[in-house]
Amino acid sequence: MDSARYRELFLTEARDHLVSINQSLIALEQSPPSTVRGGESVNELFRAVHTVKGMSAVMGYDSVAALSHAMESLLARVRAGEQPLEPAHLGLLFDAADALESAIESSSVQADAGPASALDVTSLVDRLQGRSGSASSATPLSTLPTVRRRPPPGSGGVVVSVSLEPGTILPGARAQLVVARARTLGAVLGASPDEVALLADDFDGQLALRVATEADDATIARTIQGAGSVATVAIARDPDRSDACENAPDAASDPSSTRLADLPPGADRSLLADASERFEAAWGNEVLKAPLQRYVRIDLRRLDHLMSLVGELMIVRGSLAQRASAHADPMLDDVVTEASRLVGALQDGVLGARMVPVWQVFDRFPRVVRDAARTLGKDVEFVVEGREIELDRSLLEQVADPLVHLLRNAVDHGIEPPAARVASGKPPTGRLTLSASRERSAVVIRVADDGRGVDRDRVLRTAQAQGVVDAEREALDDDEILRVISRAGFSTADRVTDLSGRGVGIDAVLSRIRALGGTVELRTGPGTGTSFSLRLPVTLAVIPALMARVGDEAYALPLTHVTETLQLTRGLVRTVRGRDVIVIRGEVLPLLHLRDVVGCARGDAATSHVVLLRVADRTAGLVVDQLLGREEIVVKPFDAVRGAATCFNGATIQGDGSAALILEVSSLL
Amino acid sequence: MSHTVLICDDAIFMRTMLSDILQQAGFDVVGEAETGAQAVNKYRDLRPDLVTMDIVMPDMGGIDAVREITRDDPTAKVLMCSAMGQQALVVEAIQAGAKDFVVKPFQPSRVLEAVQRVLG
Amino acid sequence: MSRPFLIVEGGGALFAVDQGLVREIVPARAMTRLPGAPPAVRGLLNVRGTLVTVIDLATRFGQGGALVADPSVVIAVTEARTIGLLVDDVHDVLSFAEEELLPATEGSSDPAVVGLGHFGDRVVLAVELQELARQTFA
Repeated sequence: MDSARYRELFLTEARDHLVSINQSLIALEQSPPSTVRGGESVNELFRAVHTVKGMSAVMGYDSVAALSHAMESLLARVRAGEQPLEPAHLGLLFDAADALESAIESSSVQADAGPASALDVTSLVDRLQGRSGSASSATPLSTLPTVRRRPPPGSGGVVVSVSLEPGTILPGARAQLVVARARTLGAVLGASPDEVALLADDFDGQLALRVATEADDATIARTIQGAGSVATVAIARDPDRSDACENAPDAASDPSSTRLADLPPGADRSLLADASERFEAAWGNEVLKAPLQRYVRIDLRRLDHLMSLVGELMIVRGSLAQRASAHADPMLDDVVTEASRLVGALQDGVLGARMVPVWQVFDRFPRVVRDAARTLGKDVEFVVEGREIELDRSLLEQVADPLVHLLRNAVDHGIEPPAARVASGKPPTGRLTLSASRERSAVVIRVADDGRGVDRDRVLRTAQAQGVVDAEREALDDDEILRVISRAGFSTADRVTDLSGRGVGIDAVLSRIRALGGTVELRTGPGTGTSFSLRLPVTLAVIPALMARVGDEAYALPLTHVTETLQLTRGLVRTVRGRDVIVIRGEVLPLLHLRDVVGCARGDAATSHVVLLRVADRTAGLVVDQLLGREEIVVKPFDAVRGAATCFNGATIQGDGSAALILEVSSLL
Repeated sequence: MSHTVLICDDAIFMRTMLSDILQQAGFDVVGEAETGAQAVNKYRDLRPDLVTMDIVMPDMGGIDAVREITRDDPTAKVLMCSAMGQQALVVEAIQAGAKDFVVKPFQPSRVLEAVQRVLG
Repeated sequence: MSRPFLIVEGGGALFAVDQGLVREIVPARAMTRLPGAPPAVRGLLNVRGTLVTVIDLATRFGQGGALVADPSVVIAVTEARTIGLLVDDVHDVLSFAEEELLPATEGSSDPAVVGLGHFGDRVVLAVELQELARQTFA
């Protein structure tokens, strides 16, 4: 068997369940199991833990299986109302969820979790079981007296005595199969033990049935054997015999049959009631209902493959259109236009299939925020908005880490401790909002807190001390603050981290977002809070671009950064302190030459155009020889070459099959 | 001609594993279902020789699905797939018409033995 | 123990590269220059939708550069990176034992050079592709 494939499937599915386990736990923290919502959460939790248990047992991940089994047992008791869910239990379940996560993750590395985590698991399992044991008023089934192997009640028929193989799994259910098989022979007039007593934990695999059948012994034996795990079948046709079980060799020697023979008749009824209520309560059918899944799971690699096929098709479309235009054949043009339209629709479809709602990542965050808030002694209300907004899956995955970072930072450095909030006239509970929204061709993800805001003076002084900002400056605007605090290493200045602390790892966040073709914006006000807005392209794979030419080379400028284009005329360019600038509507902007950027001699161009580029607050003009027009381009990555200009990290393949580099505008400005 | 099988389980993981075990043994896996309701519908459409049925599934559990399937077709051959600790449910499933059961974790040999018993 | 090497020619010199790493040989069509890259890096070649960085072997090892009008690119994969080698011609596959490769004495502290061998009466420079890739990529 392909165990790597199972491992991967297990991991993907188990991770999904972990997310829902954590969500249910957080919901339970807010609404107790007695409420409708809380009850649903217990059911959700139960189902997720149960599925993880089944999968991990198959994989032989013992730690995961043991832990999920212990969680499931506790939840079954809660569900059955045998066990109130106390805060201590919730804490325990949160711990168990964490341990489950690490057990699941380490299972993927080695066949079973190593000794260190196995220890944790053992103690957690003990605690999960221990607490429930002491709090439970129900008597465990195993301590109840057992009724067994009395001769089947009634008279007449054939007495069939069956012993199951020792070690039979779920012997009660197997015995039930024996009964079902016996029914195919004729009516079952009586059974011992009682069909329900078969469910007792100490059912030992011996049972006797009285069956009204005309079948011969061989047929009876064969039919009963067909139930599986049957060791012996003994058949007695003397209806007068009172103890048919003596015909079963294993049963005759068992002393318990006489010892327990004269228990009051009510004993097995109570067992019946108890057992069935327990299971009904814990496993009743409405527990097992959940919303119907609308989505199918697709291996991302398949989508990537489809995407790259569509990419190639787009390139073919380009060259087809080029060739067709040379023929000046209207019929051919029509066909090409139609093919173009279809390829475009196909591309949209494939891109759409890569889109996933942001909740697939956002739903992990309530747990992150809760834990951070607990650790730091803050009260935080976490609000998520725009969960249904969609983003290319690979983008969404890559934005997860930066978001965790920003959320933790907000709890740590943004939101004040409850007392400090009250002192400054705010409610004690801070509010942290994570929202996603669609803005034209971009998705904006915003992390906003209502905390103390960045300490501008502190940042200014630190920046001046480090020589990043002129000493005479008296204030920094928001964009400057972001630029200062996101300088790699700025955060390590310990005087800042303890107060505003906004620099911690912001450089990492910024560089990740920029690498994804996005931008970051900071807004902060003293006492009113701080927000970070991440503006991301909806999809990585295809972007609208302005194609431009210098010399005989074509380059792609992502349209998200292009604000306008204009013809370069003499009066437009000025020189300030030895640098070219351009004056647009009274605004002086730096002017760059693409020829300089790509190392191509300046000056012999017949015509020149200026493309105005904007990233966050920075605007500049870029001089190119010629504009080739707007195109939807497929982004192809390539390995970065040592020494090469770093402002190109992708390329697109043009109609003639050659590549055109894509300018990463944010690294240029 | 090989026997046809419908696999019902809400975990892809379990479906994949069962499907591998059965296909390697020469069975023809003709369909998969991830909810009880799907199982019932697919049974009607596919009329497979054998159904493997998980007990805990969203949108109608396995037991109700067995009940529906055997009501439509009393000769349906359903093999329950259960986890440890679900004995009462397995019993209920058998009473509802399931022909045999296997307990997770699956051992291929056990699964195939049970399948042979069910197909008689 | 001997390994099979692919013998290629560039700028009048012969090179041997590990045949096991070679995936295919394609005609050198238009390549896209990478601004700022070292002169031996000729640019990006589109090989059925994948962009491959192409190195001119002759330039890289001080032999002037490819000469012919219709050069070829040897596509090789090493450590999950694909690299293209621009060459004038592809000759043959030849097995060299380790001891048949003489240590390259002239000007060679270059770890990308494994040693010198013989192809008929001509000298062959055996190139270590892993090292070449490591030096090329950031």
